[in-house]
Amino acid sequence: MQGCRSLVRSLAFIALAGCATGLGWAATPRVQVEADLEAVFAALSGAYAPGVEVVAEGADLVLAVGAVDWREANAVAVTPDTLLTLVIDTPEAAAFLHFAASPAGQRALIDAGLLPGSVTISDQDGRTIDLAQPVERIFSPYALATYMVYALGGADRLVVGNYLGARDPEGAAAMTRIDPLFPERSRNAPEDTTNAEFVATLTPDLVLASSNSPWTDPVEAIGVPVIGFEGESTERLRDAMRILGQALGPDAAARAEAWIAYYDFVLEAVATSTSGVATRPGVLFTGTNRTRVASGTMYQSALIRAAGGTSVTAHLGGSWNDVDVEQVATWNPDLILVAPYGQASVAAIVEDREWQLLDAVRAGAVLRVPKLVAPWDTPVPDSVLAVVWLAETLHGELTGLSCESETAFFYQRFYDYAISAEEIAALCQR
Amino acid sequence: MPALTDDAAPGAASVSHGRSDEPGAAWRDALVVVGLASPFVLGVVALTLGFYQIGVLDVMRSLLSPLVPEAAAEVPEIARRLVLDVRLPRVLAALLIGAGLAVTGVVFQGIFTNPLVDSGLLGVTAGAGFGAALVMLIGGGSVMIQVAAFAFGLLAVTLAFLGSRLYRTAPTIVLTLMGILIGSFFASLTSLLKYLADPLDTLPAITFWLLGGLTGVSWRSVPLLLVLTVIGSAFFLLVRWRLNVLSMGDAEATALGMNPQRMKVMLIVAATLVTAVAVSVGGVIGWVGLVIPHAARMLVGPDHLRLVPMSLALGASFLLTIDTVSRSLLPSEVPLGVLTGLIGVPLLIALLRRQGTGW
Repeated sequence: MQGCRSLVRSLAFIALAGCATGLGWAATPRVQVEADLEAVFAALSGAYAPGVEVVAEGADLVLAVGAVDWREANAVAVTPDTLLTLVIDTPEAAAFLHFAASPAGQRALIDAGLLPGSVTISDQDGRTIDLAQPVERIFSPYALATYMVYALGGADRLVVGNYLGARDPEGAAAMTRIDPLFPERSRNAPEDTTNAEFVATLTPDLVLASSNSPWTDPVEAIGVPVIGFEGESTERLRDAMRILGQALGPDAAARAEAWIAYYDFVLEAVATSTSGVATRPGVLFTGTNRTRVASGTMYQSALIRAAGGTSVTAHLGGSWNDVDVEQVATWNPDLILVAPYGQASVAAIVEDREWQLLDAVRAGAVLRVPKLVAPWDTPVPDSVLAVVWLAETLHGELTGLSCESETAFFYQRFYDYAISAEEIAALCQR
Repeated sequence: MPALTDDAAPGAASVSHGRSDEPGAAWRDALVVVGLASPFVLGVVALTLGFYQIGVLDVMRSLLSPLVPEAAAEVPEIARRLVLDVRLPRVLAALLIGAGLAVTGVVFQGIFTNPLVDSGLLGVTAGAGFGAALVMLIGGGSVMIQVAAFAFGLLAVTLAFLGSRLYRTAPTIVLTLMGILIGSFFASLTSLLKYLADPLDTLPAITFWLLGGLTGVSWRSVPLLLVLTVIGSAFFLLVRWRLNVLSMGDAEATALGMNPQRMKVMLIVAATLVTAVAVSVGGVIGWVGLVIPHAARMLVGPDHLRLVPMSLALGASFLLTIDTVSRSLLPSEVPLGVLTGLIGVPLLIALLRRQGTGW
């Protein structure tokens, strides 16, 4: 009985598929190719096993000269100036789009002589390396760089990575929703200090490290390229994204530029809209515990400035500074931010009798910085949302940007993740 | 001259090798041979161990490949490079650092006639730690870190030495005190730097360095370490009988026709150079300079003629074993200072329980 049913189901499926093909829903994607791009198309289609059909009009995909628009997620850069754009979103067309941006697609274009076989990278650690293309196996012990890999569309190439903010159950669950393979990719991930033998077992063709990591010399000695990152300012974060984009191929490079354009758009929008504001609210950023505050040289202070606030600790040097509540009272911040990591919590501040003497605490202006997985206040791609969120917190609708819509846009555009309404609500609540 | 037993009072050194009439002497002699041979045997064994599995034959072929290129024809390139460019310099560094720290521990314990000191006594490790942390904070690379650690290690000892010259009485006590003071001063400076460091990347790097580890060792780290440790150890081996004289006290040394102050200065300079270079490559690796001299005394007694070579051998083997465990078992490395402490402390307690050990 069971077997009979499944036979009927299979027959029905075949019949439907046949009808679909007959009605013009082709199983192979149909591509419209702009003049002079035949060679690019021939290289790509020749390496794509399911096959591709060239059509003059009514195509699912268009191959044309152009640059990626940061607002649109429907195109990939197959070479620095050639775009493959999805017009009709069928599974077959999406699969070909995915292939064109993948290392396999990149390899086909390299074999055809249309992309270089290696690129020269100057990293933020003073290295200059010749990196063979395409990069197919990434090992990212540097947790912040892991998220850059995701934002640049390189998650498929991540063999093992460290994930900041994914140790707590909520963070791990969210990361698993973004990438179902997260548990495998984070398994065996060593702390920031690893060794060449372990790296060799992963056979990576690129290792992403924090700048000045003590273990990189032996890794480079066995011929594994290392890129070092140091993204503790808005400018350095842009550079970090650009460097990684360059390393991962034309589509990643285009995505890096798209992210930078979006970052600049947000910073510009907030700067322009708040330029006429007479007083910039004073913001205190506390991390790991409530009397440990971010210095003026840290990324957190840069985010506060970008969001149209004044960091009350902007004059402090070094890294985290330990202060007491009296010191905080003399700064008298309008808003106290709490890092979404460490022992700090909003409750610890609000319930503390001494802290209750502060205006901000009495006014309820104590907020935890949001995080989906990566903390928004750290130099990761997600930090662009911290600017939106904080600007809206400080200046209401003045900036014209809303946390809800920008969050939905960001995760779809850069993590290819359709974030749920509940997740957005949890992130943007104040 | 009658043979001194191992129960000799602190400071008194055995000057006789007449042990063959003691019970268990054959067993002890065998242990001495095993101890002296251990670095060479363990060195070869360590080359075959690692997180990345490489067969013994492939390791041997890789080792031969610089001389006979065809030998490694069938060995995967990554395995060959791991053996030649990662394991070999690291095994050498572990052997040299272990030997250097242990032998300088013996030298310091002899000079200061104090069994509870090691070569960090005059502030060399604290100074080196500060130098390394400073370079990490301003963002220098691994070579800069090594140079700064070496330079600040020497600076700290020089300061302690100059400070001790302020007082003419009881020079050894004042030198010890100055060493402790200068060491504390540099330790405070290091704490200040750690406080200023970025907790996301710089602070873990500084902390890891201060706990010691050979994770970052490559061929670049080896030449200076090799030269200074070999020259220093050769010097200690050549003058080791003078340590016997020195450890009897200044009055006896002078009576025997030696200028104890000049000899001490030469030994301290040599020991400081060896320690500084060891710390500059491996970070602050504690306990080796304290535990190994005592372990060596258990085997060969307090006579420096035998103690110096045995400390060299045991120190090399001890650190190599610990480093091999550290790099072979886990994808993240456990800092060596942690492991030497975890293994060294129980070892020292066990040694202290043993009867018949003198210093």
